[in-house]
Amino acid sequence: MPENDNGMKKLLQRILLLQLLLALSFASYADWPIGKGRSSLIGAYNYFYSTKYFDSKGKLATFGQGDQFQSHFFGLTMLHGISRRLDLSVNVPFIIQDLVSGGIAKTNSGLGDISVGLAYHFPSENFQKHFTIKANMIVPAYENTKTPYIGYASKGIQGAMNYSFSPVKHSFCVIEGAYTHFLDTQDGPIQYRGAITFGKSLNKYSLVTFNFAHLDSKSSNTGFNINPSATKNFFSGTLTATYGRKITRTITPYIQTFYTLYGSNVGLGMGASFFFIVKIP
Amino acid sequence: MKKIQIIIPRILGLVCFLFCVSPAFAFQKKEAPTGVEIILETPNKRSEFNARNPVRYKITLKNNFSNDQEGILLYKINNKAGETILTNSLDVKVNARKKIEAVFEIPLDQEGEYTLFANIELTDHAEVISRSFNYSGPTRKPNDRKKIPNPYDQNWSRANVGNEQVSTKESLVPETDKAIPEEEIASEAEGEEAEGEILVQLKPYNRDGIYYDGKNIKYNVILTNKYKIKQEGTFKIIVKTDDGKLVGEKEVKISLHKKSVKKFTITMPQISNPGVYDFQAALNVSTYDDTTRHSFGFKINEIKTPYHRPPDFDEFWQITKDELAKIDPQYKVTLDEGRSTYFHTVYKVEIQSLGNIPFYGWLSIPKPKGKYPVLVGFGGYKIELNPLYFDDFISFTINVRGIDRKVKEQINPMNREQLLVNIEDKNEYIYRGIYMDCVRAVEFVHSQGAKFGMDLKRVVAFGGSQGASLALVTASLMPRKINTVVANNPIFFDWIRSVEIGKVQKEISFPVKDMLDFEAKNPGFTMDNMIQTLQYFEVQNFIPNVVCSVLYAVSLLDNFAPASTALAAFNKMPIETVEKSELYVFPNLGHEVPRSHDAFVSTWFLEKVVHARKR
Repeated sequence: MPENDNGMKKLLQRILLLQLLLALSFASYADWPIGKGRSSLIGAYNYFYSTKYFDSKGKLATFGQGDQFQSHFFGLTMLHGISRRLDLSVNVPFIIQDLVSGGIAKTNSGLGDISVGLAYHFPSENFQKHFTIKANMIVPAYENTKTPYIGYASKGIQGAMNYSFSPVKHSFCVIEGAYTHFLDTQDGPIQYRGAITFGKSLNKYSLVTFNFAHLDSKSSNTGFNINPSATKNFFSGTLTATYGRKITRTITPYIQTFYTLYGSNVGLGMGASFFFIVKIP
Repeated sequence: MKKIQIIIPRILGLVCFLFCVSPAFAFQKKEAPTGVEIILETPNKRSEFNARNPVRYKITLKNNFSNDQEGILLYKINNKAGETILTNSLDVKVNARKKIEAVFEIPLDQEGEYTLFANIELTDHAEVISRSFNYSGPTRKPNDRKKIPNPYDQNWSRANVGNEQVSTKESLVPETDKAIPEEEIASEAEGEEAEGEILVQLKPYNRDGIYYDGKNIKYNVILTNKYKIKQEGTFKIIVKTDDGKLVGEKEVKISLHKKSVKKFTITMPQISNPGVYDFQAALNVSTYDDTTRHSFGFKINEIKTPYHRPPDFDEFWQITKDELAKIDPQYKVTLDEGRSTYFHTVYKVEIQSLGNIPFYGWLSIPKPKGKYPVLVGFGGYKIELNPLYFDDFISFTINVRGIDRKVKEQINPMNREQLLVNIEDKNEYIYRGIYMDCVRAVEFVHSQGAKFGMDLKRVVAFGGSQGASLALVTASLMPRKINTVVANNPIFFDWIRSVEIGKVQKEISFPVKDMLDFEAKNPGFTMDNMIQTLQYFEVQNFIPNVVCSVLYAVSLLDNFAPASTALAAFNKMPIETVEKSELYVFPNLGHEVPRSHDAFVSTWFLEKVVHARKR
């Protein structure tokens, strides 16, 4: 069929394109659908350290002499594809916090805010762009009976939406907006978060991402606490860089570093994270 | 300053030189033209015509003689082979010192390369002019178009071909008034109507072109008139079955204002029988006509066609498999460093198959550790596959017998079209071996795969065109060895039906064309004889034994594989298979699937390897 060889070759080339499309190693990171019946397990460790803070006017100030705050955050997130478009997510954090204030050191630890949510994806025709809406429920697994507080100890609801796409080959970009309302106390807070993430595959198995997030937390309680989990009225802008490399078919570990660029009523945080994504199967 | 001092004298020098030289030209007496100047030209500078740009030429005869010129003008159109297919003739009279001109169209039926010869014999002048041009596009009818200034376009006649006594029917009317300025001639030739076009878009009301209510088959039509003049005429739908039987017609009157867009919905004539229907949408308006081909499906889940299954079909294949089992596969796995990459290790796998004929495949294994699902890829017709580099799968791409040139020379010494190699004998027919090559490839995966990190409970197969058919046949011959099949535009389903449909197409294409050619060259072996052999291999006979899920893609304008045969085959799958399978239909495509479907294939594969196959 010589006269049709070109057509056949074109068809074949299309089949070969599968090799690009099957490279979905960063699907869960890019907030694309997990896939019906598939799951991802994300284990994370995050270290946060702060000795300075942005005051209510946004000026950088130092805690009292010797004062500091550090936390160790362990998180386990399970993502599961209920259908091709609907994903379930469950996040369980465990937090250890060390606070030194006025020369007094205090430690608290325990489960944090458990989050359960659904994400519904609207893919574009070629599956390269997704619009996603999310609804999460936040349930505290602790009570604030001991300082430093682990969180607001308040149930909350969160609504979010994002748009993810590939701006250039082998990359993704996610633009997200989220609204969180903590319900149990009158002073909330209500939080608005905007974030943009850009990810690029360095090669078939390596990925770098950069994220910038602005968080605005509104509350009638304007007091400042060294412990960010106890401050309700603040805003901050954080830059995060991540590098991940696939080590087996299913496991990709990531290292991450972050820094608070600006803020008001918020600690200047810096730290590092390690997390891994396990695809199942 | 120095530079200016140098440049100014030079410029002055140049001006003086021109001033001195120019009178030599300015006062040179222009030589008066003599004879008859004949210009044959087209506004289409590339001389490439189609339905939107009909073959249109302008002839100009300028009589520079002081006496009138009379005679005959004979046009003829020769095709590429030099055969005269159209002629035209007319009497000509050009008054002294006058010019006549006319624009004319050539109503062609077929695409091709042509030559226009204009033979002019006048009182004192004779000349032959030729122009070559290409025409591509559907048939046009001169009467469908509003007449352009052409006093003799009705003279084009096949009846005149070969008639030496040329009949002259009309005359070019001499212009006795003032001569036509050149600018005016040019602007007339490239008149308003030649400047525009009408874009015709048809979109099925149901996006996939599949309907279940025969009274309500609708298409949205968008006509964009880019002409600067109003267009009036008709928009006609002619619906036929895919084997060419007329179902019905519908015509609507069209009036398009200049530079306007008209949108409307047209309902097809009522359809009552399940099937795939072709229709032609013909737009015929004042200065434009266009015909496009479209297709839709009606109650495709009810398309039922008979099996042409030889009574000894199962026995034939059991014997074939038994014969294969006696052949030692002699697996030879060789690392190919040239094709291996930083991320994948690639091996060439050579295997002995039926008749001790070898074939080979590329085994491509991602380097990160792990147990990987396996993707077995089958190639299209005569297409050589290369290694594939998937991140989440080990891939094994198969090049069946005949792809390797040395083997091809061995099994096809006559260099026949692959489809027809040894078609005289079902036991020697090439596809008997090709099907067994595919079986052997999957046997390799299951017998050797564990060594290479394959997850043998997760094996998927895919292919496009012939590759899709090979994947389906393999899944049928090796039930419970494959988790899922992705079949894009599978072919070779039902040979009787394919030939019936293929023969009525405007252009007969592969595979029917090759079969007809073979029949013509081998009178002792008829189409029926060929089909008798092919029925042991037609894919629809294997379909009832496919038990894994199938992602099945059919394009309704597929000339290689009539869509109705592919859809009828899908309906022959066991109900349990249909329930876990998905069918995608693309109404506006030929032998291809859209990229969006390729993207969905990824989703499908990943989804279907979630659960291990039960052994």
